[in-house]
Order: sequence, then structure tokens, then C-alpha cells
Amino acid sequence: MKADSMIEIQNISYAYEGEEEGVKLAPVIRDFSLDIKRGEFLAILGHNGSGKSTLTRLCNAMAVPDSGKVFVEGMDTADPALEYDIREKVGVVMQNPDNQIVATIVEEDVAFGPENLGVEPAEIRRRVDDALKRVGMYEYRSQEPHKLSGGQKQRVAIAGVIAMRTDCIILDEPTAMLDPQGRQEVMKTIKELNRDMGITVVLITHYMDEAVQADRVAVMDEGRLVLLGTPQEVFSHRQELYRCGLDIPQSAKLTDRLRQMGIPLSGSILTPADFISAFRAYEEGRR
Amino acid sequence: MSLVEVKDLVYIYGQNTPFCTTALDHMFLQIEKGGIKAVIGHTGSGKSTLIQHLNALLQPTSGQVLFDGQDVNASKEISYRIRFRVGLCFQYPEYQLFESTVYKDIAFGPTNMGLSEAEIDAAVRKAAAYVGISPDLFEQSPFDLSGGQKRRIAIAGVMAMEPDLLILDEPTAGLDPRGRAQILQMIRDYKDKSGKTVLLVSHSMDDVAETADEVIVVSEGKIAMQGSVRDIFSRSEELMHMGLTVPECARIMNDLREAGYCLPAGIFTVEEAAAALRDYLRGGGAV
Repeated sequence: MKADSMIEIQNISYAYEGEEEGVKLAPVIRDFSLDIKRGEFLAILGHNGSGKSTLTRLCNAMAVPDSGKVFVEGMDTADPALEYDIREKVGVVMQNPDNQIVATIVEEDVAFGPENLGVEPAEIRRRVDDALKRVGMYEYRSQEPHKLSGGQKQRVAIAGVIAMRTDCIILDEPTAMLDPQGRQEVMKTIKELNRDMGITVVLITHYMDEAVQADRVAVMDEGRLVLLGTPQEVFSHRQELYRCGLDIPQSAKLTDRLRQMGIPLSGSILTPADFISAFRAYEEGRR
Repeated sequence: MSLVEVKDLVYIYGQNTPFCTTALDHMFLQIEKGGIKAVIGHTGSGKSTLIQHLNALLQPTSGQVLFDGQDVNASKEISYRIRFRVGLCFQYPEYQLFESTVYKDIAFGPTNMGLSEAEIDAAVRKAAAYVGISPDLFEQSPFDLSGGQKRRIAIAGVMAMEPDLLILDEPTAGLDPRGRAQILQMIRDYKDKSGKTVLLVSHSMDDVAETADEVIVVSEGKIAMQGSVRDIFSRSEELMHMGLTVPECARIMNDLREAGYCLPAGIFTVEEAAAALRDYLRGGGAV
């Protein structure tokens, strides 16, 4: 095992079972390899049905590859004896906040995970308080979850995962159902966990403006890894992204359009801030 | 006469209970016939409560909703009939498919309207064409299709009634960029070909920028703004205060203007932004 690996995915393939027992459907993951590094913030892009959610299941032993191996901190996900150890390391937050809240009070919901792990009550109290503070939801600890906004519910779900002291969080389209403010709150929380606590973050998303905030971006198509690199590298492959049914951020589109008009803004431009500084530099350079 | 007129509408959830919440607070709104209108507002702003009043799914605590000049709650019969004229397609409508074939699912609405076999058949074929579902799929089970196809079939089920007002609640939520572009194109086609009015409820400012003619902003149970897309997106400060945002290009243009660049207001698309920036540079770039 590589020392800096959080999850090592080695040449895996996976197919779901069809209606007939023992008959597999077409594979949804095909000869896929990816080394998720400890402490990184990785975004995964891909169209609906490209295999992203299946990959999530394979990363925390909810599914086991048909061929190839997945190692979580060196532990083989195919070993049933390690299932619980693996789930302690890798937590998952899903798209719909209403499908993952189990308790009637916020702090009880966050305590659910550590309670199931058999953690001591005093330690649970510490972890719950700490986790709620980390996601900025401590003052809501005795509220009923159904009264929270979507962004707040997702932050409670994230707190539930960090209270288990996981080293890695996989978020499967956590902002798809949220309003703009909720999306910003969740993105801010994710980045803080990664930066301040060193938690490895894997963010599956359809929003290009979220992906550009990651350290690395992986692009999946038909169960295969087709692009991997920094956001600057990945988003420079415009044609490949369009072919995969994906898009590029608007700031990059605007840059492309200006370049076509003969206005060569320089550098890799992925965000409004990038664009504004490149535009100013170009404009000042002409004076 | 306006297509929809909301007069002093109040709706209180759980009245006379400890959980009572005012969702709509003396709201006034007029919606004119034709075009695509977007309804935006953060989670809990009251927009879902509002749209459920437009087809009499909810009865006002006080105030009135007029459709084509008629009170939608005037009688049980009228409230029932109004649902054929105001078609409401909920979020994630694919979860509401229930028939054994695609054809039967799309035919459900027109059948309830009491149309003849021939009229139902014509309505189903027309609606399927709007959403790009081939007649080859008519005899298949909707449950065997992809998520994107299911969603289009569910929307077709509402379009098949050719309602005078088609309301779509978050029709692109959870879709990848290509799926999203398809749905938006489909909505524009429907508006052009049917000539009916469409109300699009969305958290995505990009969806609004790409499809809507007019924007209605709901905040704290009231209409906070109503105007052209251009007007609304030039008021980014106010939108931010309401937990909303503007498309990336509008943000770039607004930020450049604030930094002292003399650029036109109200620009929100890549094409317009590129043209405005080119013109600015041609003009010598005077600040």
C-alpha cells in the first residue's frame, strides 16, 4: 500500500445482477483505477449513469468489485471481516437530505453513528458537540431536523459522518436539491473539513463551479476514468468534456468566446475571480 | 385580464397548533398570458406553497386566487376542473410514474379529462414528441428506462393535458449538464409550439437565464421583485440578501462595473457579456 493513499482503486469492474438470478447486466464500472490521496479534495464528474454512485458504494464496502481490488487505508473491501472498520474510515453523504436523517432531534441524529460504533457516552457527547460546531450547526442542536433548511440538513448529515471520526467523506451530489445559499453553506463546510481537519473529501457533482474548487478532478464516462488532473488540466480538455455530456464553467466559456473574438486573455480561467484578474491584466497591458 | 391573479393571499400551515407557520403573508401577484416565467426564492420562501394554490391543491387561509378571472376555489367542481388548465409537475416527478406502460402513464391526465380514445391518442403522441420520447417506447414499462427518460415521460404526462399554465417545479434538479440542456430545450419548444404559459420554479439561476422571459422573486411569503430577467439579474446585491445569486456571467459583469469599468447593466449571458467586453475594449478602454 502506498503511504499517502486513502483509497486505492485497482483495475476494478462491476456489474449489477439482472432480474434472473446469477445473470449480470452490462458492467457499470470498467477497468477503473484511481488512487485517492490522503487529505486531498477530489471532485468526480460524469453524466447520469456514468457509474459515479456505484463507485461510491465500492469505496465503502457496500459493494465489492467483480474483479480488481479496492483498498481503504490498506484494508481490502472484499474481506467481510473488515466491513465495519472500512465504514468507520469512509462516510457517505447522499443527495436527498430527507433520506438520511434518522432522529427527531439534531444532536441525536449526529450521535447515531458513534452510538452504533459503541463509543462511550461521554465521548459521544464530546464528538457530537465538536462535529456540530465544525459544521456551524451547534446552536441548532436541540431543534427538530424537519424544521431546518436543505443546506442545514446536509450539514447535520456531514456532522453525523465526522462524529464517527471518519478519515474520508464521500458526498454524492450533496447540493443537487439545495437553493443557492444552501449550496454555498455546504461547499464552505466541505472545504473547511478538508483544510482544517485534514479529512479526505470526494465530491461527486454536476456543478462545474463546485468541481473547480477541488485539488483534483476525475471525469468518468461509461464506467471508465477518462480524465484526471487539476481543475486547470481537466477543464482544458473542452471537447472531451462536451463529448461526455459535461460542461465547463461560465467564466471559461466567456474566456473562450473572447479568445475567438481575438481577445487573448492569458492563463487558465475557471472562476469569476480568475476572469476579472485576467481581464484587468489584459486591459492594463494594452494601455 | 391577467391569466393568474393572486389577491392578498395568506396561507398558514398548522393553524391553531404550536407549529403554526405563515408561509404566504398577504401576497399579491399577477401573471400575464404567454412566455416562460421563472419563480425563484430560497428554501422556505413560500414558492412551493404558492404554486400549490394556483391549481387549488391548497385552499387559502384568506385571500383569493383567480385563474382567467375565476376564483379557483369557488366550488369543488371548479377546483377539480382547474387542474386540467393548470398542470403542476412536482420535483423529481419520475417517482410518481405508476402505470405499466409509457403510453398509459402519459395518457392518464387526458383520460381523466374525459377525452375520446382518438383525442387521448393524439394528446399522448403530441406530448411524447414535445419531450423527445419515441413511440417505440410506448409499450415499455417506464421503470425500465433511464432516469432522464423517466423524468421526460412524467413531464409529458402533464403536457398531454396541454394546460393553459404549465408549472414545473425544479425540472432539472439532479440532472447532468446534457440532461439539463435537453429539458430546458424541451420547455422552450413546448412554449413555442403550444403557445401556452410556463411557470418554471428553479434554484438554478443558469436555468432561469437560459429560458425565462420574466422573473418572480418570492421572499418571506411575499413577492419581493417581479420583472424582466435583465432587471432582476442587475440587482445582485438584493438577491444575495435573499439567499439567492445571479449567473456567473452576471456576477463578472457586476463586479467589473463595481471596480469602475464602464459597462452596460443587466447582462447575464456569455454571448452578451463577450460582446459588451469586446465593445468596451474597442472603445479604447476608458475607465
